[in-house]
Amino acid sequence: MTGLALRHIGKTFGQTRVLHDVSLEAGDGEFVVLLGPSGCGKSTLLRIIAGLERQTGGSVSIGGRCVDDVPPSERDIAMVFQHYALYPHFTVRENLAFGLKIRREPTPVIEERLAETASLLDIDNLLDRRPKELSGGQRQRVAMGRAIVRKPALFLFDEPLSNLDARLRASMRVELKKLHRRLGTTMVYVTHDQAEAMTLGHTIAIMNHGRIQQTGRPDRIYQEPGNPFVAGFIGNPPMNLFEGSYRLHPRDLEFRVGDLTVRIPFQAHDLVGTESGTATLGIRPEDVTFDPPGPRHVAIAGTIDLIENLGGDAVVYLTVKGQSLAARTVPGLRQHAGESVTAHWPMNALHLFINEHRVPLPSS
Amino acid sequence: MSPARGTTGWGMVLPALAFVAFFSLYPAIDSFLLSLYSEFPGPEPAFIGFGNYAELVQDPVAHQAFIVTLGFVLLSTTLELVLGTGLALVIHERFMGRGVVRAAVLIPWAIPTVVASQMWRFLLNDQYGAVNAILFGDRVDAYVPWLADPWMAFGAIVLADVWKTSSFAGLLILAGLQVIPDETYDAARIDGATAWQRFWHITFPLLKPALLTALLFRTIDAFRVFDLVFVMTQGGPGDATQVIQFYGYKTLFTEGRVGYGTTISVTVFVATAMLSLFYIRTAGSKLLQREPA
Repeated sequence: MTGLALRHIGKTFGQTRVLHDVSLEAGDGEFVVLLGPSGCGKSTLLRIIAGLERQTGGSVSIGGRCVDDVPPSERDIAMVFQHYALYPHFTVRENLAFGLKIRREPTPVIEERLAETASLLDIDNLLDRRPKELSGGQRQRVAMGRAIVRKPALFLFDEPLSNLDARLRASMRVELKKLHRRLGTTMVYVTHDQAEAMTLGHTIAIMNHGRIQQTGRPDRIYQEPGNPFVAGFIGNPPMNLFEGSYRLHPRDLEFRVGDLTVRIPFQAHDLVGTESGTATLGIRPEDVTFDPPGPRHVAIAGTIDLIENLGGDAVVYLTVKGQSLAARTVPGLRQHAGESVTAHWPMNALHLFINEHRVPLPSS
Repeated sequence: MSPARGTTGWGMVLPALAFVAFFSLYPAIDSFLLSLYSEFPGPEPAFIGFGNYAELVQDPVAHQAFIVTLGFVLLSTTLELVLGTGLALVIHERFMGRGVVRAAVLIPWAIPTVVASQMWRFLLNDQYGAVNAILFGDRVDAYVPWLADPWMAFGAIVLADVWKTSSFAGLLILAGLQVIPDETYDAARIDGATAWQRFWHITFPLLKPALLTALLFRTIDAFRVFDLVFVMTQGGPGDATQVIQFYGYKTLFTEGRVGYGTTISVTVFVATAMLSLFYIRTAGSKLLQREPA
């Protein structure tokens, strides 16, 4: 068993509290992604798992063993850093072998592991070069090689692809996925890039302000975001979120923001507490269409502000009843910027949040 | 470049060029010319070509002065680099009061050499010096005449120089330490390197450019040492601490041998220039290149 368990991790730097009661589990062989905006504490959490930082509270277990007092080198982990952290004065071969030499592995073992790793990552021809003679992508491979060569129980990745250009990032993402399938080792991966998180992770933990906002499978997080932050963070363009007020009626819920009013079929008992209050209503841009509306659709007239044609699809920004709304649709909309259009969406595509929590709607 | 822009460009660099020409180039050339005369060039200058240089090659006092200078350079530079590295490693760490420690470390370097030398002369004075008082207290008969013994006087000028300039070497080395990314150390920690292994395999190799810079500055400075000797020992006892610059000064100003004294100065100038060129040739290319992040 080589999973990871974090229990009630807290961390303060001086007066600043950067992690609040973070608990997370990763099963054996699982690929867990910590996703969040800059400064949310995800890298600090990773460094705590690595043992490079000491948590202020809580405990870290790797493979069922509490490692709170175990130094990084004895946690059976390997880490790939954002800026690669290759040893600039060593050749690629020396970079890969350094950890094994320090651990006094016999030379034949080092040679064998080196050859194995180099061929796995296709860096055989780079072994005698120094890091400065390598491209960004090659350095990234070497950094991964340095982690793989040690055969650790747990891999930690700290935004490893963020320094690569978009094309290389996409191809490295695919390779990383294949690598994980091949190695079958538990991996914890920190990123602020939701595409990386959605494509790589078995599980995503979304973080903000030092707290885990939601943990779950990528598709589940996308379809059922637990709070407005997660709803707005996952998805591109982000979910349209309207902050307004609600009032409960016998058979439905009336949501109102400015001149926009939406009545959503709703059973009162689903809502704990009050008859009325503030709420956030969300609709994903891809759920907004301009086709003739079907049954149980909300239809609202608006004016197009801007159309972004992205080739395969187009993003239409419009104003409906004083509110901004983004819609993702196929290119070729007949109307142009400045013209009126009727936008609509199926009722069951709405997301409702009250008191920062998702409220399940009967139809969704 | 258009003629107008060319004129503006020249106008801007001209003051600096004039400054360098007047204060550096002219004295250097004039000194060299002066070294070709036996006397101060008067109405009838005694031009003797490289006669003074021939004399210098055969002068046993100059040989002794060269040996003392080399000994001083080797010993003081080595100690300064070792201590400077230690200081840099300490003040690079994060701890309470680091700012105060950093400032304190730099104080010796900020004190003018003449003042520092005078202070050491007082401290090492055989009758009322603090060193004897601390070491021997009331046992006046045990007091050591530090600056009267050839070896101890030599040790004293080395000590004073090391005390004064280790922090400068430390500052240069600190700059070198600060460009080594923390991630590199994190990687080494995860790789299992102990503190000593991290120093030996990571810090030291990556610090080489900074160490070479410090070595370059310190060697050249130590080679030209003058004021320390002038104030503390006047080259004595005997010729024990007579460094080459001091010998040149004595020849020129005490003995009035302008041509020969200038020859010594020109020789020191050429030696340090060659030393600089050697360093820049061997280490310069490495100093100028930076590892990409």
